[in-house]
Parts: sequence; structure tokens; C-alpha cells
Amino acid sequence: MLSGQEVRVKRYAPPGHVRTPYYLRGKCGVVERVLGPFPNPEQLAYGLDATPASLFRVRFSMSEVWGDEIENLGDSIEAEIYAHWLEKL
Amino acid sequence: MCLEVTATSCLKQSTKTRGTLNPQTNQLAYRTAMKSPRNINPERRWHDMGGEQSDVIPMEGHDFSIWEKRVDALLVLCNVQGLFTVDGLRRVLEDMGPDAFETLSYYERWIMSINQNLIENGVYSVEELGARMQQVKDRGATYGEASGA
Repeated sequence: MLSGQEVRVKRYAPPGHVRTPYYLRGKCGVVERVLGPFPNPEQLAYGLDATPASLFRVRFSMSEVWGDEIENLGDSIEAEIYAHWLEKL
Repeated sequence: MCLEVTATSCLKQSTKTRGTLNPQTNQLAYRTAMKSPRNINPERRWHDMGGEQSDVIPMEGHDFSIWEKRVDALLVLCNVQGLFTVDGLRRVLEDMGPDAFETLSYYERWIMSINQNLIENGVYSVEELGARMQQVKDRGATYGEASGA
């Protein structure tokens, strides 16, 4: 996956340690940059040998995340999200 | 403006985006999840507070006790030694649940989590911990006496 790719955050809801905040689940954004592989924190959290997972910085419009109540149209928010939480659009 | 949220700071920063300015106190008004009605959404874990309204956050600075600084240093040492990572720290903090968040201080929760991770990773046994805690307790009742300072 390259920068510029449109993505949607998966609506997974596993009752374990995850790094994808709830407020971004199901939201659509664009990959702003590729951050490279890092040991998967969802495995590290349990003391397991972690497999490298690709991490992406994804840009979302504030209106996509919070709806129409945002202060400034055009504001955006970026979050770092692992590949297995993203689906290509 | 573009708010950047790293994978390690998403909760704190996202909460900031939802603060509202109170004209009386000129303070940002927050309501943390600990004061919210108990989370009943099974898809959202209690600690995943980003975007919730919160009470006023006290903004004045505060100092840390020596034991709190030692707990902080202990986590760094555990990480350097490869015993466990901050991910394990967080996992246990999250599993403690909202009651621990309300009743225990920040570093009280940290030391409980560090201990849990060290036991899980076999660094010491529960029996060894019990014996060592008794040794420390026998040194004296105050922190100074017990820590040998």
C-alpha cells in the first residue's frame, strides 16, 4: 500500500489490546505516508514474539470523524494505523 | 490545522480535540470516562476514551514522589533488559478496568502492571515477591527506613 491510497478502518472490536482508537473505526481516510514495519503491539502486549506489521499514517478529515459539529472545515486528523486494521477502497 | 496522532498517543490527543472552553474559568472542559455513565457499548473498551466529553482537567503542575520516579525508571529498565515492553504495561492497565482508574493513582497502577508483567514473564515468582516484600517491611515503617535511604 502506498501513500495516496484511500482506505477504510475496519470495524473490528476484539476485547484485547489494540492501538486503533474506537472513534476511527469504519472511517475513511487517505494514506499520508508509509512508516514501515514495526513489531505488532497486539502481540508484544502479551509477551509474544511479534511479527513485523506495516504501519501507515492515515489522514482523515475532521468531518469524516466527528460529523458536522467541527470548528473548522478543512481540519484533518492523522493517526498511525497498522495494515491489518485497514482495507483499501 | 492538522492534528497528528501517533499510535502511542492517540487517546490523550484525541481527547483534546473535543475539549470546550468554559467562559467562566477559561479552562478547557473535559469529562473523563471515569465520570461518564459506565460504558455499555461492548465494542468500545472502557479506556478507549477518545472523543468523549470530560470534566475540567486540573492544569496546575505537580511534583512526583521519589517512589513514583523509581517506578518510572523501573519501566525503562525493564524495557532495556528486554523483560517486557510498554505494550504489556498498557495491556494490564487496560485490563484493570475503570474502577482501578478511579481508585488508584497513576504510578500505583503502573507498579501493579509492572509487577504483573514481571510475574507473567518469569522474572520472579509470587513466592519470591512475598518474601522480598516481607524483608523490606521488616526494615521499618517509613519509606525512608524501608528503602534504606
